[in-house]
Amino acid sequence: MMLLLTLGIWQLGSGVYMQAKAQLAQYLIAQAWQSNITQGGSKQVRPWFYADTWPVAKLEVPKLNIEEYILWGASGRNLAFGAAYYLPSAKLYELAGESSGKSSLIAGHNDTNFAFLAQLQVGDIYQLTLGSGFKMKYQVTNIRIIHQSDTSFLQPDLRATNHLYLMTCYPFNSLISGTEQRYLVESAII
Amino acid sequence: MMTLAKALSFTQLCKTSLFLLTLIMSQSTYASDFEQPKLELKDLNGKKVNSAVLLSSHADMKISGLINQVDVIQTFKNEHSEAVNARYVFPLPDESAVYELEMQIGQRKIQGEIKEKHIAKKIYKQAQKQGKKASLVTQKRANVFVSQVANIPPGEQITIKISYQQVLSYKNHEFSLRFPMVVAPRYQPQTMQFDRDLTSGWLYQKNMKPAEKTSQNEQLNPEPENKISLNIDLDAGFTLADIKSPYHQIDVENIDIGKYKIKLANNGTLANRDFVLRWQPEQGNEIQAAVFSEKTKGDDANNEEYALVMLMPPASEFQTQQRLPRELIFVIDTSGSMHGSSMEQAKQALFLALADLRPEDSFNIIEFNSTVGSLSEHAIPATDFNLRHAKQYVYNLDADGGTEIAKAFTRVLQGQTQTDYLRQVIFMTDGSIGNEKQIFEQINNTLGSNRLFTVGIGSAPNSHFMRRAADIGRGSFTFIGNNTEIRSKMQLLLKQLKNPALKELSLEDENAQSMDFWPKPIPDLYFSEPLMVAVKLNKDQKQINVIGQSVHGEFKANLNISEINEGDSISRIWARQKIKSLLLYKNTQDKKEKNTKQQVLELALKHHILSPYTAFIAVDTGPINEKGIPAKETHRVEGMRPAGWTMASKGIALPQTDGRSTMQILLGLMMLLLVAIYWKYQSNEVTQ
Repeated sequence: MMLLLTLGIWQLGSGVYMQAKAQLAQYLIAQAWQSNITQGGSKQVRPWFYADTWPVAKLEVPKLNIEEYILWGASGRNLAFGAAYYLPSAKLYELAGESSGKSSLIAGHNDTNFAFLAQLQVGDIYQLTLGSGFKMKYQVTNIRIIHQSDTSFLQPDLRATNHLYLMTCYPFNSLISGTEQRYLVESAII
Repeated sequence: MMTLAKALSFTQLCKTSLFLLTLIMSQSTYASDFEQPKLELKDLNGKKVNSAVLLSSHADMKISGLINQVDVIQTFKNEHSEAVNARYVFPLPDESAVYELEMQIGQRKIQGEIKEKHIAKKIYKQAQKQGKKASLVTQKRANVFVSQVANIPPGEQITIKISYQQVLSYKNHEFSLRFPMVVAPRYQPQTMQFDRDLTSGWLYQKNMKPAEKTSQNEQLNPEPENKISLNIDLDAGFTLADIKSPYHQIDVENIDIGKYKIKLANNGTLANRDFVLRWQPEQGNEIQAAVFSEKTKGDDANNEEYALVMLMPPASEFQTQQRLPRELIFVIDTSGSMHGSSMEQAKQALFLALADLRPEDSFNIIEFNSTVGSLSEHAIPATDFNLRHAKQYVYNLDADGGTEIAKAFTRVLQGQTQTDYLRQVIFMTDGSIGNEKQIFEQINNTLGSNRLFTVGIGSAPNSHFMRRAADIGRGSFTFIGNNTEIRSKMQLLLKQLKNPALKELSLEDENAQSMDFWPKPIPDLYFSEPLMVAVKLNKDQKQINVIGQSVHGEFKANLNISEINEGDSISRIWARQKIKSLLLYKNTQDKKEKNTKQQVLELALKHHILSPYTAFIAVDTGPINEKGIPAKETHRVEGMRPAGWTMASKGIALPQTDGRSTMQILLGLMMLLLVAIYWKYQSNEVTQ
């Protein structure tokens, strides 16, 4: 019984810790974002002194009342604090340019920052603001589930339109860690 | 607002712990990237290039006698609108001798030259600046190489052919060769089709299509053509009982007696792991010895004669009735990298070894991670009581912490040895160590009469490190790849441990004159291991005598040199072995005064082989008429990682984003609820 109690507290604790980390970090990131904007929007303002990332964009989903800051670099470390931009994919500002099949990817944890992806539906509209103040409106065009090694969607295809992808792990609320499937929300600029 | 302020102050408090946690997390994510082969792309105009250069690989193997000669052909195709440079890191088998580079542009072929590394690099840089097409091949580690190609014009391709040779391995009456395929198949579209999950997943897959095709018929071809292939010409010289490739499907064609043509079957299995080929002579035709000799080109006065000697000492040489009492020291790596199945395999192997001990033996178990711990202070007799105690100790081992391998060696090798004991150290690790060189030196300087046997555990052990450690430690190397192999591999090792080795091996000619042979010293031979030596022949030599010390006294075998063909493959093996030995023992007491680097450099230049100090360079002298060349700026761009490069290692795939916090909170609450219900129930019972 004591074991169960300890286990329970431990599980609860680590769960709450993860949640708290993701939520609280957003406050610091928001501060960094503001400070960046007041400085002209082109600085790399770190949310805390040892951070190796900085906010690069703000994502707003009016329908779900969501406001998330997107960090630079989707490493495991950064993802614990917030959704992050996957560096090897196309630059976010490039998506607004002419249609040349560019794809950008933003990833986030499915229990915290990107848990809301489950509620997004095809046709939903959201807004992405870059540090420069540049705003882009996106509409969800497709939602699908892929294998983690399937990066074909990131390949430039000159004939296709530019796409922004939001991605998180699938299934949501999985008990097993290291799932191999990804929930991929495809959206196009409108 | 209050909550915000509170939250902020709380965050401040959390920072340190967050920092520690994230540090650990990030380290584990980055660790898997280390030294993995990758294609890095550079755009000359500083733009990001993700999939502009496509690589296809092809390998042609020619096996004859004990040598496998391989041409690896890498085609770099630029599909970008600007000229680019490409840099490619790839593995080759351990101890392979790279001896030729040929660059092909259109129909023109340019022979690469061997040069001192820093000179070659300078030439390459200069050519790159001038807009000339050039390629450079260097050795990064003994089994990791880098090829660089400069100024690939847009839409064109440059092909380089790298030739290397390796000595076949012969164990348990079976020949085998290993070719690291893991790099090539990433770019190989055909193989991607086998795993349903991965059909569309390979990043470079679509780009493999030739550009002409797409432009001709505007239609995307769903089945890209298969550009990688593996062709093997096997000239065994005797009829084979069996040819096997355990991980790939192959087509075998028997074209003549003892001659075979082998190809990867088109509908083969997933080619995501090293290619291994094994073949066996017919029953009763087991090979006991072989001598291959060659003379280099030139007139009779100038040419040099070399021979490659393989000898399988008869099993009787290892068997003995009387046994020296042994002291076995098991050293087990309990660092974090061993966590999981590796640790379980190591424990199983250790249990098998403990079961094999006899009462007259004594033993000890030492574990090391960041610190070193042991079963007991000194070796203890293998009594029933001690063995039970030891099993308990092994059972409780847990993998955690760093890999302080040096501390373990200090503890083991500097311990007092009893002279009448045969002291054998069995070292079990995955070998994920950084400071290999220092460790080699340490082993070499403190070995004494100890013998070091390394056991490689896990799916990707650092076999290069462990093979060399065993060489210097004058023991043997055993590789345990998976659970099913533990028993058979450990049994062979235990047999080797029990039976005395063939020691002090050397070669001499018929007049008892010493010979220039490598590796030097020849590692002690254990049961079922063959002797494999490259030797430079003395003038007019007719016979090679192998001498050594076996448990029965002097061991001697006479081998006759028959026909001598013209060729330089054996001389290259000789030089490669010499370079290996020179580098391995370069900082030992007796060799310190000699300039190893100079020696290695001279050897490598003379025999045209790649070494840490040499490089192959090929520069095109043809006209430069493409646009965008030469570029002013070379910007190094990180290429997108080829996806799914190994199914086993995570970290290359899309970011892992599954948080379990919600489930953890739920689970935690449920457990607490259960506890609450239980207590309620208890107190109810008490009141009743």
